[in-house]
Amino acid sequence: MTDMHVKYDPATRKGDEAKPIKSELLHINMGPQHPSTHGVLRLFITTDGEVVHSVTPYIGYLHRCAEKIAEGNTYHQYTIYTDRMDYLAAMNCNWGWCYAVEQLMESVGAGVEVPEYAEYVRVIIGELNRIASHLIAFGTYGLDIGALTPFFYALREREAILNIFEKVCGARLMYSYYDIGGVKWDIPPDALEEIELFVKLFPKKLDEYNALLTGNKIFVERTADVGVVDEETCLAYGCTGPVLRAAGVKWDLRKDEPYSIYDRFDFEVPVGTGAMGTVGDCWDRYWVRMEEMAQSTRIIEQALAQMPREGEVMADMPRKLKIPTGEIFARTECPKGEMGFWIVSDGGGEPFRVKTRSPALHNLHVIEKVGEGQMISDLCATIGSLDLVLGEIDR
Amino acid sequence: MSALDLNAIEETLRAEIEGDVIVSVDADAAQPGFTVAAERMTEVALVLRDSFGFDRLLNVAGIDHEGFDDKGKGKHRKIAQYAEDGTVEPVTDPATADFGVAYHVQNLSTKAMIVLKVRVPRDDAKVATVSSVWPTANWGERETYDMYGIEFTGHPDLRRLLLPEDWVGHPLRKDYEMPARYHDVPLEGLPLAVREAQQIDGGDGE
Repeated sequence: MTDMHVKYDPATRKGDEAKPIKSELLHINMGPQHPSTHGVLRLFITTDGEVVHSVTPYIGYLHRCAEKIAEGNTYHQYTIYTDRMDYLAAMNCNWGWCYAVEQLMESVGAGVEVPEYAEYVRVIIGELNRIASHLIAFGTYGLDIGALTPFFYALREREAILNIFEKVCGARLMYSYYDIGGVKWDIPPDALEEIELFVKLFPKKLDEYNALLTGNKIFVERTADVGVVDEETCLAYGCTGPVLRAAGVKWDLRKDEPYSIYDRFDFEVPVGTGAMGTVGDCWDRYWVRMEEMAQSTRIIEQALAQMPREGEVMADMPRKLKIPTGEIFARTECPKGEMGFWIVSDGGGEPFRVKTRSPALHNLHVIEKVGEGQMISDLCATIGSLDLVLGEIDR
Repeated sequence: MSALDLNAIEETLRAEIEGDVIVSVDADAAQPGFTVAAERMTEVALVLRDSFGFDRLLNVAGIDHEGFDDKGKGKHRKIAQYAEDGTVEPVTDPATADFGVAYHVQNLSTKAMIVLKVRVPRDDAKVATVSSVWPTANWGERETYDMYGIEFTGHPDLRRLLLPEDWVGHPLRKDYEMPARYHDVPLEGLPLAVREAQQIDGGDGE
């Protein structure tokens, strides 16, 4: 162990002459069942001692070919498959799909107007799911680098959100609550009260999390200056969402290309500042998610205040939805990043082609570049900070 | 989304790249862009990135135009179907339609988005890679290769992305037939009679 700090020469694969150590490249499969890979991700790593030389992700263990399934299902039926993509933020995936179909209908002149009340419901539920997704990111990130306690705190609040969702639509994970033209049902009054209570209490819980983990010395040591993804890399590799914002880019579709009714709310777009180390390091990505939870709470508060007392939850939709020939690529801001759907229609009741732009897929791609030269333990910290969901990567 | 100056881009593309690079200008589409020559894709991408600041490649997507209903009735011919009794319905005529690839690119500062498209014949599906211009295309093109078998010339590492490396066939092609077995494991989803009739081993690639 005393030879750990011998200067390594990659050309000869040896340490310096004074303390020669024998080292050789070792090929390791990390995953597909590794606890820190958040699902079934296999990383093929070449290491020299503790230093990672190259990382090659192998994905597809959860591949269901959802895009082929889309070609045999109607637009309404496919909503259910979008649940199974990012299963931690199924509401947002539903929303992305419904929004894309609505945009497609509008572009071919058969647009439907989503009722105002339904838009508020969509925003409230969508932001709640964003909080739930970020809570998992926060909790499991603690687990990844050895802090067990925050996970239980995170699950406690996520449980409250899931209980609300259960009252709203009956399901706790796969909701299929959003529908093309609105949402399926109204929020029951007692669920609305619970949401009000939740947003009142949640800022205090956030303070608890921050006291637990954010400034914790061990946590900062493990995350600051680790896995730096700068702005240039983010743009080159298509990183979006918290990864992009942590690199200091103020880019959020809710602000920059407002969809739904996001232009009515006052909220900030948190960006990484390198407060603990470098801009775009693991700590920044963690911090951006924590801040986003606070901002989501603000949005829900405003939406609850502005929301009409009652209203329609669905637009007038044809019983059998057929969309004239056309195509659209529409994106929404999901918790993991920008989720996009490219839909091509040839006039039938089923899409001719659907392509999903998965945010986590692009966020994972960057590990090939960032992982090089890291310690293995830092690689785990970096993967955790990217907040991957394999259901969405593999589709 | 801000206005996109297609004319300026078209002029620059014609001036900077020799030969007929633009196949058509899709100005009337909901999301405008160009259809360009497949073998010149790398040069087009370079001009767009360096002269017009299109720095984010959002999406790479393939498409198989086989059966696309030109009349807009949505009655696209479905090929490779299985009847309820398990027999394969014969394919009367082989698939002939071409493949396409669509690239959605955005300029982060002006927020303008442009759609680039290429169309390639089915029997010689080759597109010049853009992964040297936008590194994220590396995986997007691998996925397109995986699903459609479109070859991206100049790609540094053209392997399957989602399916196992020894998988046979490209599933998003409209004439794809699912192999009956993979490594001696019968694949679910097909009627048993089809699996037995096909006797295809998807495993060893024979």
